[in-house]
Amino acid sequence: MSNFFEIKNTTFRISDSDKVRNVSFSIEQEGDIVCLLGPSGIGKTTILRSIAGLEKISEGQITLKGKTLSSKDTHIDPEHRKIALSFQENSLFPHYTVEKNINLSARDNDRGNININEIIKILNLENILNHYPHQISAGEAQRASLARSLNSNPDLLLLDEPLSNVDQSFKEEIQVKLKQILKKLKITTIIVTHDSYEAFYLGDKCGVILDKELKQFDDPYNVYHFPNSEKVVKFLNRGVLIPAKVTSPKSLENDDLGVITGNFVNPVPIGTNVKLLLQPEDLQHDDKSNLKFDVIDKKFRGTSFIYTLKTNTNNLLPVFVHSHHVHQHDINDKFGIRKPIHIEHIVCF
Amino acid sequence: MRINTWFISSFLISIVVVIPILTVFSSFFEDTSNYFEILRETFFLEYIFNSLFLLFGVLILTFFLGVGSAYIVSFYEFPGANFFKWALILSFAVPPYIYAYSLFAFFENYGTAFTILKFLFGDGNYNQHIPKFSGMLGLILSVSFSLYAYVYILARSSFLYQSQNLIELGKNLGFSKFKCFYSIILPAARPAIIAGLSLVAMETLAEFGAVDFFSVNTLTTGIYNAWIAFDDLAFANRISFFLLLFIFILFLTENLSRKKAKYHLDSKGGFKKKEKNKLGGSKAFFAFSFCFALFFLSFLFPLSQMLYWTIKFPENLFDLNIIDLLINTLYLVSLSSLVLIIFALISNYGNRVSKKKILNVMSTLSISGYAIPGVILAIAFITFVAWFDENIIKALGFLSIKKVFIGSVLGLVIVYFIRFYSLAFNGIKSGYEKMNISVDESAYLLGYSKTKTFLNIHVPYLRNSLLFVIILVSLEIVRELPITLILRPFNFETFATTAYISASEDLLEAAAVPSLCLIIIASFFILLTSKYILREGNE
Amino acid sequence: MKKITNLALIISLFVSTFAIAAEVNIFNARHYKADAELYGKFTAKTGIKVNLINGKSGALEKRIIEEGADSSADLYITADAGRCGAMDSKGALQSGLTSASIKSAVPKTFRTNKWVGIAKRARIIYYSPERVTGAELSGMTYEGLADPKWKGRLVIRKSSNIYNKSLVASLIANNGKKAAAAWAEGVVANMARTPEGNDRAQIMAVAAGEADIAVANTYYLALMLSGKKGPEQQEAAGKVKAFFPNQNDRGTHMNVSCAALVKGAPNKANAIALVEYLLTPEAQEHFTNNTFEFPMIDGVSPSPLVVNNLGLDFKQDMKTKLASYGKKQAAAVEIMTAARWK
Repeated sequence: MSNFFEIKNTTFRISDSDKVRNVSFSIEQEGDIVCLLGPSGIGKTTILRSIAGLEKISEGQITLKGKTLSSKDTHIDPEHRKIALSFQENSLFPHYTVEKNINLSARDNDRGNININEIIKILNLENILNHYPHQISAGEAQRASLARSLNSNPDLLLLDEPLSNVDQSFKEEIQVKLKQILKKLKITTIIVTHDSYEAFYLGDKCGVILDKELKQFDDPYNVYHFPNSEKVVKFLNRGVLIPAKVTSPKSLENDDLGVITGNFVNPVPIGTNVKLLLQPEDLQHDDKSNLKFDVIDKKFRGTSFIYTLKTNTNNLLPVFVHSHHVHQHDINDKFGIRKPIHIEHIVCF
Repeated sequence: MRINTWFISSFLISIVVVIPILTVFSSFFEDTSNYFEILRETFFLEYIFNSLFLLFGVLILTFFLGVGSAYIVSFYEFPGANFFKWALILSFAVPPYIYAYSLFAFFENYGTAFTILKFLFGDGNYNQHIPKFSGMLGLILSVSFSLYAYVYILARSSFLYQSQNLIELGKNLGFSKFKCFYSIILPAARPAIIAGLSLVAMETLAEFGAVDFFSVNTLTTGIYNAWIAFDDLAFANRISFFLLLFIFILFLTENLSRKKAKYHLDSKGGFKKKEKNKLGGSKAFFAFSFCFALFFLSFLFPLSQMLYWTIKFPENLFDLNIIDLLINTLYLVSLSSLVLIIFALISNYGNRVSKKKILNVMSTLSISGYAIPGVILAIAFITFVAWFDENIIKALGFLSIKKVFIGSVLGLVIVYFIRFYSLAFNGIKSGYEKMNISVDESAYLLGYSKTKTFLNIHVPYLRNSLLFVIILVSLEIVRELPITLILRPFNFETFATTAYISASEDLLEAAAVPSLCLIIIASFFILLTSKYILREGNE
Repeated sequence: MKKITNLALIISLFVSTFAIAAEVNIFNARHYKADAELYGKFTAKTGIKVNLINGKSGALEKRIIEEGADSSADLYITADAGRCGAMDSKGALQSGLTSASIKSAVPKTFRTNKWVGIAKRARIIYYSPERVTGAELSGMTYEGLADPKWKGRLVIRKSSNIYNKSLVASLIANNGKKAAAAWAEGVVANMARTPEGNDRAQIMAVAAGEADIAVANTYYLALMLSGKKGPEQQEAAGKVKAFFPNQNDRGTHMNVSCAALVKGAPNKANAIALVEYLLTPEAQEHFTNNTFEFPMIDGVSPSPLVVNNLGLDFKQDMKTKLASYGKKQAAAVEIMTAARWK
């Protein structure tokens, strides 16, 4: 069976000089959610606009339900695609109330399972239904626009930074509800965001766009634990890369930390010099250990502290410590690390 | 493919508007005959000098009248302030040429002033003591009192939107009221004021009726004379070229300032209804007097002069077929606004959906029609039609099309179209600009086709803008003189042409009735629009 | 089919329908109410409809010329022989006003084959009897306006005015360009103020004491005296007197309102009929009583106001052909401009 939605070797044009090249990914099943992650200005919005048909593509192919929407020679107008796009900026019709805006779809609700009142309730829009777009806040406009998109019953829903203007306190609640709605209605969705936690939470699959290409497209777990390139590591801010030498099929050695054991995600020949991904949770605190480094920074993160240690070779290492841990360390203190060091999945480049 | 249809239609509309402008320029490099060469050089200097003198006179006066009244009305509360707020824009109802008739007639030897003095103080030789407002001085006054409202409206709206913080900041810094005005309020309103002054400047340079009445030779009448009296199209075009260059600079200034002014207006959240300072005692009296004097001089005075004549020479009232004139005027107004609105809408929409640069350039060019004096447009139109008819239509063996275009309502509507296109185009554009392009895209994504988006989303959204544009265009056409004068069909008069023709035949008192009707109709249109012109909220 | 009907409907909104009935199209630069009444009488009499397009002469002339052979204009009616002459020299007119009734009604001086005078006026001197003595005026001529004794005492219109152009053209025709140029400089030197206003304003300037003598056309004084301009001007008119210059030589400078036959006139016969009608005693009487011009034909008397206040038995300049006003117009403008006559 063919994929529900597919992008094949497509080049997206951001501007005359800027393009995102050779993007391929697919959504196998109807109802799946894909999140595209990447720093701002990288062309994520352009990709959404191209999928929606607001921009043309010059190379590649975009298909939905087996029908080609865009290719070098084909371009189906946006109004004939059944794809909804919720813009980042306010795109409500300024002369209609929020309620009228939400109900303005020109398409039939043939799925028949969309209960707009429920959506309105979930998105907390009841109190502003009679307001005009200029009378509501940016976050409210985003939610109203989301409701409008949902109500148009699209085959594919595209959300461009859907919650960027929603208050932080309200954001997680909405994320949960959003996921519930999308799953309940089985609406296939592509969400663009720069917030990796949002992407990992919402997405069945995550794509990371960096340097004008799709670097990685995988399950959130895999993207998180097995980033496939240094760039992805840096973008996700997952940890640090330290120099190491592969000493056996199950171990490496680092000048500061000594031997590290674990399972290589990808086999590396013995004797290769690599950069090892070291994540904060990989190291354990142990006051009794004689492997000690200076603390140079300490961040309180609620449930945990993240200590930054400086090694003898001037590498900086992050270490997680649960915040209930009795023994706290201050800057310039010595900080012990438990030996031997074992990392479940060894990611190195 | 639908994009192309829109593109082509807006492109064609722009072409129609641009043609006369190109006609003027195309013959610029033709040789002028040597005949009268030196003579013309002297005329030429006179034209330039007079135009500049008139321009600066009017700019200075309109600046003081417009900014002064806008300041008083926006920042202070005094008896009548709410009345003057809109009463001051009634001056738009009196075109400069009608003001000129009133001014001249009031102060001439044995004129209305003489009558009043005689009535009050008995016989006497008052004529020598009555100041004479004719020639350049009269012209500057007529044009200024008729046009200052441009500055007033724009300055006022800028003052209203000025953030309260700015003024409070000034007070915090311990500025005096004058210093506050001079170094905070005025600079912040500068783009709006410059935009208003540029409009005044364009209208002044294009003014025909009043200039002709006072027989001051400006570049505009110079072009008319060169064309008409010397039959020297090339020379006329040469003057036109200079005038247009001049106007083009103003046009750019206006455009740039307007953009800045808009930026200023759009800054959200800055708008807060300001507490107006309540004036009392002599200050309130001064504010009232200033506004009343301005209202009196700009509106009541010409109105009363015309009313006085109508009563004094009532036979003119019965001689005039007012119903016919009214029907003609309304006919022109409704037909032209309909055509203008439809095409300006299409063109605006074309610009919006097709991102082609050429269209942008074309529409910028085409809206310059407003800057070109009506006289030049009308003559350029005749010249173009004659050329087209001789060289193309007849060459192809068809019957002459001159009669279809010259001296017909069609021709009249086309030239009005060219002249007022920018008014309609910009009016709709400013409405459009408030609507994000993503609104259109949302509509497409919701399944609306381009046409459906246009009809179901845009047109309802633009309803208010459209209404405003229609009334604005109507107001302009009711006042319009030179185009109507030159291109109208047989037995077809409007209030403006009737007034002008009577006045030019030394029958000023017969010009009173049509002038009065014109003022009344125009006032009516102004009152209809005042709601939009003077709106105070953040709509 | 429906589309075509709609299209026709839309087009008919714009294009004025041209009736094929008997009509005559006048491009009219004379806007006296009285003229319109006269055309009404003509229609009543002949059934020929008179279509008018009113306007200032310059614009009308331009339109006739630009429309060329396709012009709908039959007749061009204007208030100065200089204008008809200028139109003729541009080749915009045709001959045809040669019927016996026209020829017998209008003296040769006042017509050509292409245009015909329909009413006469003289351009004369007005003076303040309080400040100008009979001796000063005795034997006064147009040439005498340049005499330094009038320094600071004379008012006259701008040089752009067609009446002045024609007056100067007649001086060039009679005295030569050089003499006329010197004369123009003398006149400018004598001016009491920079030229402004119309003819009536010149007369009122004398009445108001701004100047002692003024140059203006005859019918203006009668108009003021008639009270049609209000009691104040009636009173002002009483303070000035008229003087007819050049009585001892060629006579007073005459001008006419003229009707010109336009080249390619679609209704030539009707146009000629209208001109003939305008020269009938009925029409001429109408002119004299309403516009206070002098009649073109013999046997009709001017308005009593004109007769009583201006006099009738003055010597008209029958020597200078009015056709020369158009021919010398360019030279006249040149001379006045050179003399810095504003």
